[in-house]
Amino acid sequence: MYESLPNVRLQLASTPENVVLVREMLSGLAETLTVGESDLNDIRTAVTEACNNVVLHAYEGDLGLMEIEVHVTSGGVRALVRDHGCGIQARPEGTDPYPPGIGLHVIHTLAHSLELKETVGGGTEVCVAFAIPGISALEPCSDERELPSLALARTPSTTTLSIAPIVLARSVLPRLVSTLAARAHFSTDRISDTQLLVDALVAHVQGALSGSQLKVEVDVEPRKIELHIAPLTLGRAQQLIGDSELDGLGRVIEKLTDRRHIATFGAYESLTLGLTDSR
Amino acid sequence: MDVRLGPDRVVLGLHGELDLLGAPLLEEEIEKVEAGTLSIVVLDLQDLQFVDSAGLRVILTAHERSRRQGKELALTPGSEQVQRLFTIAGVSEHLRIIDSADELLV
Repeated sequence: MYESLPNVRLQLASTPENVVLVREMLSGLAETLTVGESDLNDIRTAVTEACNNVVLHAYEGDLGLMEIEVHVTSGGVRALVRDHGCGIQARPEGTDPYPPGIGLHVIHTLAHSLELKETVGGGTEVCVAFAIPGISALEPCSDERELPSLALARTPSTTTLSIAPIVLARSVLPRLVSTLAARAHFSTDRISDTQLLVDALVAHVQGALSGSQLKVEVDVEPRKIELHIAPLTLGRAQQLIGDSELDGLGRVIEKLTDRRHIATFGAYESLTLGLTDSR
Repeated sequence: MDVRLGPDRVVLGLHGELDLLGAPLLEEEIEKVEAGTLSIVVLDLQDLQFVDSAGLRVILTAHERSRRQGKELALTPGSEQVQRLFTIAGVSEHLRIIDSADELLV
């Protein structure tokens, strides 16, 4: 539908917990873009309703992929919520007892424009646009490579964030990873470690990136998180670890992680960072 | 969520976000409270920052149940986002909004 690649793409399983993550992503974006509270409320509410529709109706009780894309344009924000499920269908009587269709009504009221379409191959896209005076368009993502999944296997507990420009990652990635660390039942101290780690990562990753887009896959298990970071220029993953050195603390990425692994994918590298909370 | 007993009411204090994830927990808690003897339930929304249609459904369903049972369900105002959703959904005038959780109900 739209020519330019999104500034943010979030891919995650269609669960109620993950709708919370979507809101965290939007709050992080708003922080960098200095979107006012009232506009942020409207965006969070409308996108939540679109995501809730995916969770409740797209996969008929099963889990499936939920994709959220955000484009920052001149004078506004455009958000797209996509599923690959059963498409737009009339719901049987009695499934929305009170009041029926309120989610779409809320979206329609809050957004400047709303577009629904069925996607090729099955599924639905809900596209909502918000007019926010004063916002400047961000440099569009120019990296059109479809990077393969970095984790060994994509599971329902995998969250993938693709983001450009990097300045957005500074407020979005820490929020997402902290929320996921809490979900992994990390202690408060270990959640703080995770935040420090992500702060160090986003502070230095731009110089290591191959291209303009950062892709981070996060896998969560009880007391364990893995971050897979790509695409990095060949040889730069190790340099990224070295760049994270702080006076008195050493290499933050090394100090705060339990596992580090560099993998090569043809013309680029990925860096995997594993953290556990082994209390 | 916290639960407080008053002389004539039960006050459920909601915090943070009431959404698709948390709505079933509120529903469960309201049903427990309804099984008791007090005829007034107050949802204290002063610390509620966000609500979605799933959360709103729980509130409206509880309101309808209390009306049918001759009981009272009242709410204190929530954040700007909460009040805005109530307005958009057209339910503000149907719900009993009180200034504070301990306000006398006539």
